[in-house]
Amino acid sequence: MTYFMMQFLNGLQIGSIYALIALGYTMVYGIIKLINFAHGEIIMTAAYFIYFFMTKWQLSFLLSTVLATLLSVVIGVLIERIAYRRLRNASRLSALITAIAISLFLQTLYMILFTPDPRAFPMTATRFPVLKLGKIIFSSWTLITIVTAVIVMILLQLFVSRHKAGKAMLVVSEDLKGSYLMGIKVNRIVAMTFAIGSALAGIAAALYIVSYPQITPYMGSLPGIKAFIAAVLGGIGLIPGAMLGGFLLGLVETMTKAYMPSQLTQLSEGVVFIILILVLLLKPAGLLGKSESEKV
Amino acid sequence: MTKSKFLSYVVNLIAAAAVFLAFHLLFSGGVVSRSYRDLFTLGCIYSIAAVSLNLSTGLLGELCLGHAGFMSVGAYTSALITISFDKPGDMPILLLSLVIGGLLAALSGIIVGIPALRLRGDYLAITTLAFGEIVKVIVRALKITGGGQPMTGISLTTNYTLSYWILIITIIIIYTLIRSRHGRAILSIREDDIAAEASGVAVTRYKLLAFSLSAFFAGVAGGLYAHYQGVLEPQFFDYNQSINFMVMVVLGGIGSLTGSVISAFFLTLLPEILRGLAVYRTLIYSVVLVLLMLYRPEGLLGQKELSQRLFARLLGRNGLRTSPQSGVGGSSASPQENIPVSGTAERKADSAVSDRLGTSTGAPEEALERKWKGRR
Amino acid sequence: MALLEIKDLTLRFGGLTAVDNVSFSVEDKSITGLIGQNGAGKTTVFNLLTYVYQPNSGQIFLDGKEMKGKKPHQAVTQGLTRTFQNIRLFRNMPVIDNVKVGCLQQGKYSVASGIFRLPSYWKEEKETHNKALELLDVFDLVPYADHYAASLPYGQQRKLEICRALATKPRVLLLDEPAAGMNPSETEELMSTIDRIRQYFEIAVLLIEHDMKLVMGICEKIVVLNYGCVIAEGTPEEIKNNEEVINAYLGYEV
Repeated sequence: MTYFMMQFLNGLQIGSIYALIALGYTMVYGIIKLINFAHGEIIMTAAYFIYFFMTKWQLSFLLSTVLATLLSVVIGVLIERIAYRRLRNASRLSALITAIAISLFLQTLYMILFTPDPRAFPMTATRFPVLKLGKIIFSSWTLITIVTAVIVMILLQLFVSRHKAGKAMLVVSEDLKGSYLMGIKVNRIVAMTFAIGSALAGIAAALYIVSYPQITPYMGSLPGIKAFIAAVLGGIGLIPGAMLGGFLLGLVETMTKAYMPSQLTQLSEGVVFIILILVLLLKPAGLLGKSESEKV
Repeated sequence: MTKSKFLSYVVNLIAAAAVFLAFHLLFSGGVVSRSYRDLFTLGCIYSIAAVSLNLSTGLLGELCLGHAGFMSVGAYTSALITISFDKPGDMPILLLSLVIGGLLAALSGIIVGIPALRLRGDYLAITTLAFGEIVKVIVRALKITGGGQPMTGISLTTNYTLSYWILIITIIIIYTLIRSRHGRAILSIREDDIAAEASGVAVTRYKLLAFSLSAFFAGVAGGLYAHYQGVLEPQFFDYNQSINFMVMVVLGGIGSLTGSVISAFFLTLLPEILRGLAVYRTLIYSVVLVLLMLYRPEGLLGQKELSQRLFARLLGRNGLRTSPQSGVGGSSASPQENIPVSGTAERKADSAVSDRLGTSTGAPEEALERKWKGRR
Repeated sequence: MALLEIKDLTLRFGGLTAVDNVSFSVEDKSITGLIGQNGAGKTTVFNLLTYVYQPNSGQIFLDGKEMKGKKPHQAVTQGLTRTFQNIRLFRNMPVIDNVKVGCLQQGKYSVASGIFRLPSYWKEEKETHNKALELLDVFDLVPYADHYAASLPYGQQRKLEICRALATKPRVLLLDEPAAGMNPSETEELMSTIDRIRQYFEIAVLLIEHDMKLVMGICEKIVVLNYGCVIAEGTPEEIKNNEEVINAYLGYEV
């Protein structure tokens, strides 16, 4: 039971990171119906920024995170402005290929700039004091991660449901062309969506690299793919769906790793993908989604 | 089969043979170095992969991001078969192993495709991406495929003759498929799947047909690659390799088979020419992709094929006019060629059509025609 | 007995009953109009007939046989083909190939005969080609046979869509607002086209339309839907004078 509880906390920890990333995917997908393959690379760039702020400028972790998050926002909005905006009326295939190309571009650019060798992040989760709850032992970093993620999600939910711009975002995701006619400044709302998604990715990057302190140009793709699967699991395009999907995926992944017989651990990476296949087979609209066929 | 049609097949085959002969003379005469011969072989293998990816992405319209995964399935299967026979260099065994490798790749394509292709939207992109990762994980985990180490001991049986002719067969099969009733169904899905379904096209079935055939040829290409390289490493068939093939397809023209071949060869040779820039290659690829999507999303050739017809048009319809496919002026003698993949649709063909009307059979319909015309 | 018989068809979306116990029939070789306000459930009835949705209850009979299916292409096999409110063509395919896609289900040659171009391929492709041309001729579209479908003017696109639907050899042709977006003279032309279709192809037509001139002009029978229920069924004359229909839909002439 103790072991289970510890694993449960670990699952929540990685799950909250997935949820933050999945939110970025799901908001962008909801609004312009594009799988933003470059989202994973935003995490990677944010991680490098934090690393350099801390090692070169000796800034504190918190300040580095804030600065890196701001820079992520700039990059995310730039990507939308330079590439995606002009493709909004192009075929889905063109938009998808562009997204893939941009992800490839960022990966390669960082590889050339900073070599493919992993860099060790100067601060690790082990530095944080260990907490004890009865027999359950866990790092305070686990708690910080979960609490930070939950606070961010609550803020996001408040923004979307209370603030005018947040409501406009929901409106645009319902009907982009109709929103133009309603006088909503669609371009601004789309840019804002990318900004929020990238900011969440920046925060997620900070939470991620403390637990997995290796920074490489390719570090963003795997959590990126997994978070996207989390978004599909919860119901792509739905903000609560991304949160639910993220936590669930983190829990399932951690539990399979924890309870899988040791000779099969190599295959545990595949579990996430099996979940994806199952979701598509059984409930393609996701756990919270309603299946909707196109109106004819 | 009409006589002119037959003639056109002969012309095409002769052209294919002539190209082969030209390269054969270059290679056997020692005019070019061995490394260029190997590059030619590799170009053929990549072309097979690109052309087959074009079937699922360009013609069916479903984005596949795990094409290298299918190649990997074919490569390992085929290598395991030839190794188990233990007769290095035996061509029939290699051919058998290529077919089995292709079939296994097609089977995995069906398994991946069934959940994703039932749905509308971009689900295939993400499932195939996941598939590529799973294949890598499995190959690394299994002892028989090297268990994380490179798999060695594969005989170097693939040569340029074999690769070239398999490429030609691949192109012919996909080309003729697309110009059959099944091919029209596949194209109609790309155009509008709801309308296709409402017109009686069993959309999921045709998607699976195109997708599994695409995976089959990727598997064959993988088998060829295994016996070309002699060593297999799981990371060779990773996401980036799939993207390489995607670049080939997009650059050559989404829907143009010959375009894929040209860009596959171009992108195989390019790194050799720009040896010093190896690091920047992927960077250039990605920038080129974005620019293409922004300014010429249909790719270099668009949907056109590099064919007699295109040459005929470029030559101002001289010389080749007698050739049956040079129906540039509207004398598309063969109904089956009227598909836009060949770029003939823009032109008017009033005269041709009325010619063909004359040949229409079935007396009641003719009477009906007259009546209709009388009513107007 | 009627060709198409709809019995107690019901479809609920959550709490909303979009189609409520709808029953009506379509006689063979007749033109039946389905009218009602926007949102009355007309297109939903079409969607039920073509298996886009599965009904919560009720049955559909074609020629006395109950129709059951899961996918729209099965409805085509059974003899029901539809067009769409907003035209859906294969835009980057030539006009003639649009029609040939409609011929797909009558095709016989296998994938292999298609790839290897066996004699069955040549024979059937020739037949299909001629058949497609004949159908195009019915709609005066032959001169555009090799043009991309997207390049046709609006009115021709409507015709092509009907042409493609007819290529599937339906028993009942379902037209969803065929006159939408047409000017009066185009509508006039369409009316005579629909009439001829029925006569020469010997099929029944069920059409959704808001243009009362068209509906009253060519339909032998009209079914009126209101909030998912059939409120009237009868000849144009009867419908015109039906108090409930006037209240719900037609309105009084001023």
